[in-house]
Amino acid sequence: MKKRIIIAILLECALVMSIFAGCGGTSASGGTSAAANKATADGKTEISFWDNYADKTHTEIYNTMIKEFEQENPQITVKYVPLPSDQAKSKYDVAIQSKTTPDCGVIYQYWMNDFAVEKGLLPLDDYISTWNKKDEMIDIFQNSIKNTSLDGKTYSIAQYAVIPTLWYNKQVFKKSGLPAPTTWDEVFADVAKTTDKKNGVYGFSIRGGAGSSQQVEQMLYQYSGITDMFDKSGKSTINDPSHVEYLDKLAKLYNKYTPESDITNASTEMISAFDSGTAAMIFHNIGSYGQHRDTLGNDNFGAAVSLKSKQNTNVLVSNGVICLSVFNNSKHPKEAFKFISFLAEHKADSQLNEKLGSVPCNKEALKDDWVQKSLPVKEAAAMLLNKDTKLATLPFNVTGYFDLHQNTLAKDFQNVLLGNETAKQYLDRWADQMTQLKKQYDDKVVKK
Amino acid sequence: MREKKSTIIFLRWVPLLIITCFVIFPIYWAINTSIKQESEILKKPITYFPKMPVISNYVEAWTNIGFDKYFFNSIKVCVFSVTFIIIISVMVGYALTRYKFKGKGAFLGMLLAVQFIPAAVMMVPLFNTFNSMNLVGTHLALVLINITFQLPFCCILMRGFVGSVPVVLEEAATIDGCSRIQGVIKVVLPMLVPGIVTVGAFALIGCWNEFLFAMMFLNDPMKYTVPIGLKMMQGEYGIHYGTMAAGAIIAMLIPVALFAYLQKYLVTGLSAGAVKG
Repeated sequence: MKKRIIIAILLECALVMSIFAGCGGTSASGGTSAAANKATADGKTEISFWDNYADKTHTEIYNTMIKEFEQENPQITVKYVPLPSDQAKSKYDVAIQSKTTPDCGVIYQYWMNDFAVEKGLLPLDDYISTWNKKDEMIDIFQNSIKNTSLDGKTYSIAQYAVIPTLWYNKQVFKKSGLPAPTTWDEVFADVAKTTDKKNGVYGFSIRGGAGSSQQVEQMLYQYSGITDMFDKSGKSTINDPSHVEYLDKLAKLYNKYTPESDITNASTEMISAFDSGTAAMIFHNIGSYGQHRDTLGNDNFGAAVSLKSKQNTNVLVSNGVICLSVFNNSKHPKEAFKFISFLAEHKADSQLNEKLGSVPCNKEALKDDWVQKSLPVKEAAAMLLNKDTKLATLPFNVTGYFDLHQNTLAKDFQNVLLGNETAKQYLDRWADQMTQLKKQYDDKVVKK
Repeated sequence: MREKKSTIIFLRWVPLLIITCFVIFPIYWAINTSIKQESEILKKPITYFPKMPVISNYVEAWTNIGFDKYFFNSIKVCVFSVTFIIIISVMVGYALTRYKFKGKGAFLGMLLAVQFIPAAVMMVPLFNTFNSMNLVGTHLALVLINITFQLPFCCILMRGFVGSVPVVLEEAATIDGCSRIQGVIKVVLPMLVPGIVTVGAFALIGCWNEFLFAMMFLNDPMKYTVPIGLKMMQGEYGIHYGTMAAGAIIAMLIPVALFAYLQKYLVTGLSAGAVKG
């Protein structure tokens, strides 16, 4: 009897384990771990490509472009892996640490140095120098990628940009008899005029929660027209008197011309306030264009991309572009570069950005018909192609910049909105901290 | 008498009604959002019932986003994980209750202590281990992770349930000629059904909602699970609220259906586990 039971249990275990084995796969496809990144049975080279922003639109367009690429390059197959946007950085970090990165992927420019420090990215200078379409790339972005890298090497090619944008509700502006704003002073004046609390309409919605200080930083430099983040002595320019003046004005809008809930707004809540008609204006970036188009309708909102600075200049404040990189661990870097360069070239870059409603980093794509038909992108394109446009690149390459924003500045900004701290106190402290971080970065990272 | 009745209504039913509203409203709102057109979701004034109910969000979530794959992947991972969690926790729970052995207290303390370790801390070492075993990118990796992370709590819970089964019943079975293992299978297990259901339910919730490791360990969209699917609808610049609500309702289906069916066992199980230790 006992024997039968033991045999039965053993057989059951064997059965379960055999089913269990069915859960396993034969390869860790998608990453460059042992089984992935190999030549397929028919002699094709398979490369893996991670997309840092998985949604329906990205997935569809990338699948189409991959098909086109594979038709042009029958010896290469591309394995596409979409990643949820807020987890993509962690996924890349783990992959870099465990050397299971994909061959290539989409990254934000502000991740670049983090990955480069860990030797996760492959320098692309040699590849770019022999690429026959390199001149199609917009110089200011490509130069920014090179200039912000810690060792002066180019680790990415720019794919598209999210340009800071002031979105305004055309219906509310029409009702108030106002033209579209062209300067920040006009914006401040319009905020009061468009507020209609009785009908639940506020002139502006401020991002007071997660990511607030970075948004404010963009506003400040766009307003002042300052393009250098540090002066010659290495001191941060964030507490410039014009910035103090601007922040003071902005903080005074809170709870008077903005919803009280703005104090905890992340980008999603702020965008929802605009899309629901609660806020007449928000300052975000061109990335939310699709969302506004789908909820408000194309004719009901406008974008002011090139608000004139105090110095009467056009300043494009950039927190980096979305780029394409090849990973150091790739066993097929040539094929990986071939693919990412295909994505950055005119046709693919145009296709992608038309669907996303974002701004291509390819000069030829900026001249396409769809750009002329899409007002915010058209304005951004005009700004980018204008030789007088100045680029102010935020100091995201300085180690500790993001931690400072995430752990300190965003929280303290709420105190400014609540009137617990003055704009000057806040910006002075910010400047001190940034100056300190820059000094450490120069001493410990750049000089090394 | 009348006064007593109205007091009962006020003290018992009114709070219950309020709590029920708090619980039901988000679910109702998710359903409401899932059958609205995207343009109506953020429109003012808010509509409590859709003007033009649509099922397109469900179609979108199921076919285009990929819930048709994620749903069954989640079921597959959960079935294997929960099965093994139950089997192992019954064995561990039985051993902890019925046997005396050296280090029993330390082992119990360890079961409690390991639950304080944040999962994220173990991410890279586990990733490296699984990678060296060629398990990264497989559902087996998730099953093993789920078992590992759910077991400590489930074992402690099961220990309480096994403790509530009187030893005398096993002794009686032994007198009647049963071996220990027969005693466990024929006497203890039938009495443990509420406990097994409770442990299974807790394990299922944990496994069904597991996101972090699924995200990090899977590299193939065909193998993604439901929580990853839900995350993929939240972009940095916008959220497709309708599709996400539809996805959330789909994600809720299995746990809700299961809980509805098992609730009688669950209530018995919870109360039994609560008083016996």
